[in-house]
Amino acid sequence: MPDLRARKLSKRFSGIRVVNDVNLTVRPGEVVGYLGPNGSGKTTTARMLGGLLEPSGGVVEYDGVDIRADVIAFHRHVGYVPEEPYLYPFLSGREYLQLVGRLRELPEGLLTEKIDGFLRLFSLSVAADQSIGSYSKGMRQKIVISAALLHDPAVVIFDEPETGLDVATTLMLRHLVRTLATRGKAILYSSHILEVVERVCDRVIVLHKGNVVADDSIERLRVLSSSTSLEGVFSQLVIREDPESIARDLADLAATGS
Amino acid sequence: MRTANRGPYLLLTRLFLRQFLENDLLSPDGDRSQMLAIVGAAVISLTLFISMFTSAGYAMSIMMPGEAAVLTLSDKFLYVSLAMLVTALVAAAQWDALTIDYRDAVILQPLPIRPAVLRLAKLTAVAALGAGVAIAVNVFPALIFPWMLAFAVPQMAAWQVLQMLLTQFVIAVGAATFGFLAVIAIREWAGALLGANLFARVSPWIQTIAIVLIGSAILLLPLVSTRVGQRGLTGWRAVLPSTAFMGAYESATGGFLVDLPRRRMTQRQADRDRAFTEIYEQRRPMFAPLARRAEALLGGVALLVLIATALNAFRTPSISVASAQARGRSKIAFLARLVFPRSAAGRAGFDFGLAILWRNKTHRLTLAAAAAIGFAMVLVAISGVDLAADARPTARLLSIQPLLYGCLLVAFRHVLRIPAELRANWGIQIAWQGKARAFANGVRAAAMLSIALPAILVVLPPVAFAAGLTFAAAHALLGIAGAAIVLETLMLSYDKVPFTCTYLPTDNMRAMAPLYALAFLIGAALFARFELGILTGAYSRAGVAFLAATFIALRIAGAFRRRVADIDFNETPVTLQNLGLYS
Repeated sequence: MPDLRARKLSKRFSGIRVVNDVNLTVRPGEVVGYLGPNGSGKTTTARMLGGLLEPSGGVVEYDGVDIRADVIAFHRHVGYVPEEPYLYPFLSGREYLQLVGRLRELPEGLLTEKIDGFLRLFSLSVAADQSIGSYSKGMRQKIVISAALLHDPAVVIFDEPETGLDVATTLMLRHLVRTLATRGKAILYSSHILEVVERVCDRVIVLHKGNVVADDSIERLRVLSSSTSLEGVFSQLVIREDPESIARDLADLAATGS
Repeated sequence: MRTANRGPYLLLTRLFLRQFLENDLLSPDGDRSQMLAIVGAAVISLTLFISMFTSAGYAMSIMMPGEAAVLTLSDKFLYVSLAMLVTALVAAAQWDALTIDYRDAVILQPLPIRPAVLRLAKLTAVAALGAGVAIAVNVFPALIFPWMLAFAVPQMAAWQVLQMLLTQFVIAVGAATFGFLAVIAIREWAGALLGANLFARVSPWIQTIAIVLIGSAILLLPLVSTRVGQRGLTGWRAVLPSTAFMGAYESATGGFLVDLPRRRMTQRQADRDRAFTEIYEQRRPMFAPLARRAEALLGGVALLVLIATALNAFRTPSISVASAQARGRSKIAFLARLVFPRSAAGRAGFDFGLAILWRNKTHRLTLAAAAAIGFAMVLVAISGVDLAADARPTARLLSIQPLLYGCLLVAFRHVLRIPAELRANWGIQIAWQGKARAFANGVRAAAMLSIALPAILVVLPPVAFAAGLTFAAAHALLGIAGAAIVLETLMLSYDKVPFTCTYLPTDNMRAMAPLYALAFLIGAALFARFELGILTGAYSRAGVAFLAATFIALRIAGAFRRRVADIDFNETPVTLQNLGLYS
């Protein structure tokens, strides 16, 4: 299975650079963690890697070919789980998955079988024919994950997929990511939950203010930064303020006037 | 302490008032002030235009008191009806925002707010909406009509002009209140009788039917409100709520116009005045009972709203109730797939189109408005047709079918450009395999099945009654062919992905709309004549062959014209698009 590669990827919005010369490679069978604080450019990078957003500079290559040469062909190999599960609220979960599956031209019988399976395994069978407008965020996230995996993609981009999921589903998702990797899928896992990244990912890329500040295996990053955990590594690379001090100030502010 | 207690109530009232502007009609990127300005300007300019248009004649003529008393009945009928119907239409358009809905429950239930405060705030917001619309609709007619009338009837004293002004304002606001409350009563009673789950299913249909009926009534108003005084207040006119409020108007003013002192008149003027006075005196005894009926109607509908609201107050929507709104698999879609076996992308387009057209609020409301216009035109056309069983079919009778499906298909062409949910477009974008034509064919089939076919079936009974079942069936088949041709023609100029691409308003729409409307009416009339020729055997084979050739030619033209889809899944905010600031 081919690599997904970004070369000097950058993006500007209204002249403001939010992603700056990012280079990264996601290989088959590998789970690459993509870490960074809020506003660091994780989602923008994920959208560019998924071919959903045009980069201002640089290229995204799949199998050595610029994806802009044929974005539709590239999308056949990609599954994308966005941070915010925006869906059509007037469709039911089943209808949404049918729409996605049919657009991807899956055979009708296979599609029905897969949809029923996903809905059952995600415990959504009861709500399958209710409108998505009545779903909780977690239920929507499960529909989005199902839609991303319907066509058995070679590359899966998870952009903070654990948002809104309950504990059991989050645990299942971690196993799912690892299982997909063992089956040769190339996976980019963007998150700010360090514990999840530490458990799931083989390699970590840390983004800060649109720039890659680290790209290595978790073990090597620990050694380089003399930290015992990924949290320590992340703190050294990204966090400039003292979190304890800010936390204390916040608690003091909350208690003001009471 | 008082401020702290009233805080949540005021905040919630403001929130609910904002919801009226921000419901699904306005995109998240839309400008609320702009929307408010457009709605306000539309209401004010409409009422100003109607007031000036109907009253301008008074400024240029002198009327006898009897003549004025009879002829102004039509205007009074028009004003109270307009106030009633426009306010009812606003209530129907705000259908889901009239009560505490699921969204409110989800957001507000976790907060420490007493349910009574929540309900009171919603009630205040709804009342403020009704009052605002009632005043906006009535202020210009109340100011302009009596003032202009004073030019035509110089005997009117200043205090009588003022009395008429105040009476008109109060009665028309009363009529508007009736219209507003009637819609709320329908909604509340439907909710109370059907229960939350069943109501959630049928509510969109009730709303759509209400909008179609009210919209048709507004469009028919100019026809219905002519010569009201001369035609009399009997038959179907007698039972209209508008007639009751017009009676209240006359009762409140005491019919002073007819009693005004006469100035010097010619013999002809005197005869005319005598004839009109006689007509008015015949109607006069009816006004007091009509006024009592108006009071009863207003009181009755208010009571109905109170009872239903009290019943529903015990069950503020909860998350559990709303989430139980099961949506069964569409049987129509299942049957349609048996008739229209097509590619996966085609099926995707078909199901997506069907869902959007009937479930998405903006699209449904647009279609409902088009249906209202269509039904109004149908009623105008059918009013001149002899529906007696032995009457011969005429082109006018046959024109009702293309008028109705034509209106709906034009609306469909418009809503194609409106994205169902801009932020959800990524889902289509990532799954898109470039099968634009197949997807559009699916959407076209959905329009044919869910819009054109029902319209054709709706007009089948009057045609069957007038010309027999065989003739009506043949007319329906030709109607299907005609609708297919109209659909192909309308789709010829559309080369984006339906319901997904960013909406860009057409620059020259305002200038072109009258021409399009004229072309549509002429086209419908010509097609009806052409159909009559086919159905009466004048040129049956040649006519059918012509229709088939036109359809095939349009399909071929479409295939050639439709370049590889230049798909635009842009999420550009509308305001930026309009200003050309996005790159």
